[in-house]
Amino acid sequence: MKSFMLAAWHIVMRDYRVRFRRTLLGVIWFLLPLFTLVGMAFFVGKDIGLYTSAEQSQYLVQLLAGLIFWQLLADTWLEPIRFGRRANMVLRAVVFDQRKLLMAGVFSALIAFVVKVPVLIAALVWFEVVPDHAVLLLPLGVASMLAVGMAMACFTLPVSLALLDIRYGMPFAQYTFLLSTPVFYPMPTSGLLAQINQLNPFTYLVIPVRDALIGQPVEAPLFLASGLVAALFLGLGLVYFQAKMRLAIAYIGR
Amino acid sequence: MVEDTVLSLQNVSRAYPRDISDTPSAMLREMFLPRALLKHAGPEEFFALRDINLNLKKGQKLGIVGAHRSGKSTLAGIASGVLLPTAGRVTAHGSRLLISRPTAGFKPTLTIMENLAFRAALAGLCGRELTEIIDIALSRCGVSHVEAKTPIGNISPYLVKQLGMTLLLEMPADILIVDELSGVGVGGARWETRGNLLRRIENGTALTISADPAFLEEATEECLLLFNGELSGPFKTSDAIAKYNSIIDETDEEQASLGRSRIDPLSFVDEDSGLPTELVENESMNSAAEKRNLKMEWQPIARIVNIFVDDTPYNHNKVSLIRKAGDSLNIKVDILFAKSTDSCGYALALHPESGNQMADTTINWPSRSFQRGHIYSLYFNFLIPDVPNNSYGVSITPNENHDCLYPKNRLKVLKFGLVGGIGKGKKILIDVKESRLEEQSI
Repeated sequence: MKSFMLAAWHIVMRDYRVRFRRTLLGVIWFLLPLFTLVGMAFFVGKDIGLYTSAEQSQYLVQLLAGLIFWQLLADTWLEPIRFGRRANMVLRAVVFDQRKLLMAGVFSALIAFVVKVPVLIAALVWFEVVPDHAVLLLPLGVASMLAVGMAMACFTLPVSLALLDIRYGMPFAQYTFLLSTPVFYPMPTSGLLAQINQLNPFTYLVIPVRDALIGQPVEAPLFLASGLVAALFLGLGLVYFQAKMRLAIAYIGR
Repeated sequence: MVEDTVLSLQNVSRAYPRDISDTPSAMLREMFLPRALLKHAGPEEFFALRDINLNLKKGQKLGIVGAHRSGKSTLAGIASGVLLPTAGRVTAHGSRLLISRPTAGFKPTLTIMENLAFRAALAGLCGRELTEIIDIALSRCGVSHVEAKTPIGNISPYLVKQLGMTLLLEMPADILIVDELSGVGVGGARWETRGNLLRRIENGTALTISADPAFLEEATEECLLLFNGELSGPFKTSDAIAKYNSIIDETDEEQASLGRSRIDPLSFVDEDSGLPTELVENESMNSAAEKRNLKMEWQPIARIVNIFVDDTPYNHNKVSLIRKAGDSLNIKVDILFAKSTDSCGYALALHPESGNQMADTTINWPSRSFQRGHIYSLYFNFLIPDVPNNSYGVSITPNENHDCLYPKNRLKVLKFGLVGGIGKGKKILIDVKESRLEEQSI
């Protein structure tokens, strides 16, 4: 287990060194996209009716928390694909447990999350948001998100090694899921958007965790159900990954 | 599985798409169908490996010899566990180490230490074991810990390969699978890494897969022959190499009648410079004239000056040829010879878009001398074969020194797009008629 975790850590650190060694801002680059999205939504949102003046601070905290948790889920899904792409020749030439790529994705997502947590805590303190007892469910919620992200990586990483469509389609998929999750807007109760939100599995992962943190009402059974489904999904994903990853590696370089 | 067998491959097969344009559909098929349904190749696939059976015993040094594109790297990947076969089973008792691409994963912006630590950690080493292995690799290559903090992009690529190979050879493993690597580096370092590899093979259990007969003779006791995706043997290594050398003459009667000679298999080419290793390694060859002469030997003997298709000047950047199966092209190629040679014919090959040759034929003429600096016009009529819709290329390779065909002499002639072709699964026959050669007056 120790060597497994160490190898995953090396994958992450190697990637970070290559990405950030010759930058001035370093890990601050994790925060810039978040600030950009929050800033744009905050400045534009009032004009398009996402919130009123009275709801300003609540909206800001909700948006910040929602985006940070959503990004945790998205990173856990997408980082292994990026690591797999950057480790093409390693996959083809080195005998190693490719699940280390999945664990590296989890580490990378958690590092980015940890960098953003102080910003979230500062916002909670500034706007005097007090979480209630539901915050105790937060670890389960975060674990569910990590499990689902990892499961999605299990299904998409093998295919992404040979099909560039996956690589090209990832940004579209990411933004489709983001806009289908009620992070930028309150969840409607009826209409087409409500149906889309309800069909989007990310809604049941991100929104309850966000609400648990910012003191909004939360259904505890929903947390438990999400956790069970996430664990099952991850189990299926790992079986698929083990069966298909080494078939997919044969297409690297073809 | 017999008791002392440490590695067993049972009915292992691996299918690939025939053409690069079929890769997405083949990939999807493999990703979405259960493995039981992948036993049979899809409509656009061929078997790179078919029903491979292999047993490697503890302490055995087994070799596999095969030509270029015979499936060696695929077999090495499957045997080492990097790849999965589409059918069959691989069983290993013990850890496996694949000796291939020693610098895989190295990043130029990272230091020597960081790159070596990454490769060692990936292989499952940690703590003291990892530190010790890196120290050994550095000291064997004469690199100090201070120098190890240099970005790898700033040091000699030969030293980088040497470091990678030395690290690989220090990694613990029960079974060694060597994929076409016999030594890295330049000069003495190449022989040192080759010696270390041979020692490692000698001291353990190894499967050595190579097209280098000299290395196989040193490293293995018995050898299997890999040809057209199938394994035969085992034979004594020298017998396997003799069979390997005779394969080209036996498989094609036309080639046998032409008496085509092969490149001496005991000579090999440095993978970095593309020059024969005797040029790269022989530091006693100080004469610039000697080096120049050797370089000249490895230059193509001719180049194309003009091409006419159906009496119209042809330039592949400006002219798109779209044809149907059964159409014929009247081709005239003006060839300028860069050195004098005798030749008794040429090979004409058809290539799909991926570049790999899919069919060829040989055309003979009475042996004649070609003079350096003279232009010769080759005329022939090429019948478009019935092949699937795709883009194709035609190349010709004039013989050198009477009947020697070298890949370096291949001349790309033209490209054409085929419409209305349906000939899948049929043997492709190249039909060339009315071939004649004329020397142009100077």
